[in-house]
Amino acid sequence: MNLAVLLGSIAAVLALAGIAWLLKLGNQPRIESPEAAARQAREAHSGFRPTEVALDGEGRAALVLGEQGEAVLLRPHGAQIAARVFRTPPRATRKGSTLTIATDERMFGDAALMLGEDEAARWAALLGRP
Amino acid sequence: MPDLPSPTEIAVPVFILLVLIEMLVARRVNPARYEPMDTLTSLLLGTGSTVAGALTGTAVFALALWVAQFQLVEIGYVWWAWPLCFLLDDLAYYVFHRSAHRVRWFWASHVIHHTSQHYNLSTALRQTWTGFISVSFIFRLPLFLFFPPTMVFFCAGLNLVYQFWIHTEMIGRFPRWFEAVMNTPSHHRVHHATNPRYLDKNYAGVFIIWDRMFGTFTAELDEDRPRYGIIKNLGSFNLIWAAFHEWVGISRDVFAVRGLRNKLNYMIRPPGWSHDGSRDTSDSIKARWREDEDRESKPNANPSETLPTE
Ligand SMILES: [Zn+2]
Ligand SMILES: [Zn+2]
Repeated sequence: MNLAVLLGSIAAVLALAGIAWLLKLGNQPRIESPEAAARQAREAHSGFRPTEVALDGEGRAALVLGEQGEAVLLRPHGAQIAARVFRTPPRATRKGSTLTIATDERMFGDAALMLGEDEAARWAALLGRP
Repeated sequence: MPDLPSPTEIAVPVFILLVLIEMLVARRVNPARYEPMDTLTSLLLGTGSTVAGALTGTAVFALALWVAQFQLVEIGYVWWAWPLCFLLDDLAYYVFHRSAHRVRWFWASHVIHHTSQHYNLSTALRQTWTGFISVSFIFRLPLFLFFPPTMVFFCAGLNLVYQFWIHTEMIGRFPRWFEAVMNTPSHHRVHHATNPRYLDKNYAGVFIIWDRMFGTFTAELDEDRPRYGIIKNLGSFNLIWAAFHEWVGISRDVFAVRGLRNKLNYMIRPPGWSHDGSRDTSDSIKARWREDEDRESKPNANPSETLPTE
């Protein structure tokens, strides 16, 4: 392998990714409903039995609580949904109508859910952070 | 010693062309099959992998030559040695690949190939940077006791080229006889899926027969469509994180836990193993899934619900 081949490869890679972008491939996924969130949470965590769903107003994230006190966080990653499973309810902070779920993973990041003032307050209380 | 070309190098232009074609088809059929950032990540990981391979290739080849000194029989380049070498190399690949999913030290390198949540031809090029560190070359070493190193590396290259085209959702299923013998898009979709039913299945490179022989085969079901990626998807397109995240995980665990045995287990037990059982492994995930399946197949299994209350 020499430098010319390497640079050529990188150019080809950028060109292909650029073409994917020009073709408008990929899309921003939405979590359509609480039912969809519950189903996706079960897919992300086998044996999970959802009891309650907090769904972002735009369908951009969801937090699903389970029978055993576990929780599944769903959020878009590119054209897919990425999930995190918590054995105990995750840390949450509320600011107005936005509930922010902390994952404690720098590379995954936190997730913000727009819930409306009352719902956000109820969930913050539910997760033990009024 | 014949001067053999590198199958992967010859195939690269074809790879690029096929990715392009698949993108154009995706635009018509389902634009979500590709995602520009995911494609970029996959292809850059592939490029980095060739750099890493070039850096360590000489050392691996020297090791192969060293092992070849101990050949008891000299088969050489006789014609029948080629198909035999290809077949046995594919078996070595199966053993490598199965270990790569069941031993965390090997998984830390192989996981890169599974980090995309997409399954398209660009995913095939998402290859490891750290194969040398996880000593993945040891699985091929026995072959050098029988076949010339150049022949083995040529067969290994062909094997890799074969595996490219099966990374696609554009192809459904082939006729029964082909699916019975060969690794196909359908079989390999199963391998990339995180559905509990599909975890740790279909390790084949070229021939699916090894999975059928050693009990790791599962067929793709239309009613359980594969969901791609890993148990804990990265949720990030960071290249460096994709390449090294599991190594970071290993070092964190090894430093944090007490006791040599625990430290060692964090390196050699299956991915997800933990000293306190606080994490999921593919086995625990499958176990819970089976419980669920059983419950659903006999909904009245709970006696307290079925007994008449008098
Ligand atoms: Zn694999
Ligand atoms: Zn693959």
